Amino acid sequence: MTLDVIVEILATVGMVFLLLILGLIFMGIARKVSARIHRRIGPPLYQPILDVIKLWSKIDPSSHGLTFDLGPLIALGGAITAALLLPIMGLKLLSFSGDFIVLMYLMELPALGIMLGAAASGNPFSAVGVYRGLILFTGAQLPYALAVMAVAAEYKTLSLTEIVALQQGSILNWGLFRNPFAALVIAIIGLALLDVQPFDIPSAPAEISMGPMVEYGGKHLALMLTAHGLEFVVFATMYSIVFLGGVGDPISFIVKTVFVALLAIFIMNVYPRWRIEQAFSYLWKYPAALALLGLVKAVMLGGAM
Amino acid sequence: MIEKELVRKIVEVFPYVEAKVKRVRRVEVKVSREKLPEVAKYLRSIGFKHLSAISCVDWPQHGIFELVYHLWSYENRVHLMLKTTIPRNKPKYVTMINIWPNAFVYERDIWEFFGIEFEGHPDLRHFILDDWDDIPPLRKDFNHLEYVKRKYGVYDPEKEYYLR
Amino acid sequence: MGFQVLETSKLLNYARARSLWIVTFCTGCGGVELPPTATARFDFERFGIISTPSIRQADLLLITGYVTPKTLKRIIIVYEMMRNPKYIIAHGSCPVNAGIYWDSYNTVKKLDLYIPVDVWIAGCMPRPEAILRALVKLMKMVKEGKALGWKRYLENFEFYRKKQDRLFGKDWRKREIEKLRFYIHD
Repeated sequence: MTLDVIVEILATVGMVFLLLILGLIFMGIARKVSARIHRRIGPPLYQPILDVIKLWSKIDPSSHGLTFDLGPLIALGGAITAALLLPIMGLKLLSFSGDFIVLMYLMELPALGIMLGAAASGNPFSAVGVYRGLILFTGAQLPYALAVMAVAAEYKTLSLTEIVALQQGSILNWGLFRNPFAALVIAIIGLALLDVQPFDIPSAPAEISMGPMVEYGGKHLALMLTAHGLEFVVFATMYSIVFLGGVGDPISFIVKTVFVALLAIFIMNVYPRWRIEQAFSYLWKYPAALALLGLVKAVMLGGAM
Repeated sequence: MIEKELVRKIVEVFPYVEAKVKRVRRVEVKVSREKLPEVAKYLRSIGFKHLSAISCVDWPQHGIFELVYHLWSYENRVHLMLKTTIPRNKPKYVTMINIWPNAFVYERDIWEFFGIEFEGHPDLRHFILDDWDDIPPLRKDFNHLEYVKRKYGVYDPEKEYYLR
Repeated sequence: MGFQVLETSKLLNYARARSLWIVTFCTGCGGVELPPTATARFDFERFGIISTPSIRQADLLLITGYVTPKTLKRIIIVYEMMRNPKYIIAHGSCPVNAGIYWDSYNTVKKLDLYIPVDVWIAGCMPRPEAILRALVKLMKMVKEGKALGWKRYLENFEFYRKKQDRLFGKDWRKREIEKLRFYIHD
């Protein structure tokens, strides 16, 4: 009994470290692919790891109080807890029945943690960034909730392992083909949660210098970059589990998550960014309507077979 | 030509100005300093709505500052230079903000570099020179080499760098 | 421990050399040579350099072109807000001996008396190839642990402070903050 427990604990810790490093490499993939789209040579794939090491080695700490220090910790803690709920490669770390809804709402915690910390620094730029970020969050809640309800009504269960089990068989059992409306809506809302264009307005570099993160530097910024990369990987894995048939073995894990990441990167490079009132009015019109359609389809036209 | 028309109209209304056509699209008008505001108001009503710049020339041998208002008319496409002189030992003049509101910046600039005070200007202060402690620098009797030596140190031409 | 370990560790010096972040603050006329260096023809992102608009996150300040006393006050404030270790590269002949403005009443003649400079580039303005060569030289200096302008500033702070006060007058920082009092709130 104790050997099993020790092996599980070691597997958990190892999986978290693997996801942390993979998150930074996904950010490196984003920079490299964006550079190739602009027809230049980009940085090497392991560049964000060097960025994080450099930021850890900055010498003077300076902080604006307790809340300022807590922001990055909440961000990283939320991302790690969300990562532990995923059934990857056959390991069921902390899964339980009902973990789907916990996961979907834990994925919002990193951005909220950054907003909390940024509101405690006395800079007017970060105040503007926090106000815009919270408005964008409110805008994303309505279609998000409807899409989560649509997925839950489709599969008639809230446990991630059962959702994976219901998608086995043939490729037409994937969530993408059973309820395409919910898949499309969660893809769009994912762009808003991850702070990529066209929903880039909270951390717009050219308008307000880096938005909420303007006063962070050194070790705080290293924690926030790690949390950002981990959030990227967690979103890609969650999307593959719920809509693309689950990640049972390492090859399908890598292929499916990189496919989702590349989709986000291509959209990020093509679109400019929306202003905050345009983003908000878009999010409450078209994705909300699509999610409602998905909910209606899941309730009326049958669910799990 | 439209320039000759304009000169004829101006001399008809104000017989005491000297106006002449220099070439195509260039007209020059010289007025004495008391009569300039009326001439400027009349010129604005003809069509010279754009004040491009105000420039100032320092003539120490005659003892005057010469102010030049550069006006442009959109409809006729004519550039008009309105010139006047003020004495050098009492540099004061009226402001043109009521006629062209963008004279605000140019008059502040001329106050900073030549020392001419404009009565009626709400906000005369430095914006390029910080903590200036000498006479206005674009006057001809400002010795810039002495000022540089005093503030930034002595330049040694043999060793070619500044010793401070 | 402290400074000794952070200076001599090879992994940390390699990471610092390969991910320099520039403050987007282009003084003077040399700022026009930075966009070609950053975009597709002479790309500096392959060395890991990106430009960040926030001062607290950056560690390389490029002084491109002439410096007036009004700009020098802002440069000193920006330099003191950056986090150690930090580096400065001076472009052109104006930071060296004021270039073609050697007899002007409003340019600073020798920049090295007011803030410490690590790498100088000659030219008026240097081309992107020269800027890339200077960046590679700075990266080599950082990897060996020899780019120590920030330590010189900390150790000889009295020297730099005396020169700054002689140029601007005493208590110039307080006077600058009073001008910006309207925008600062805690």
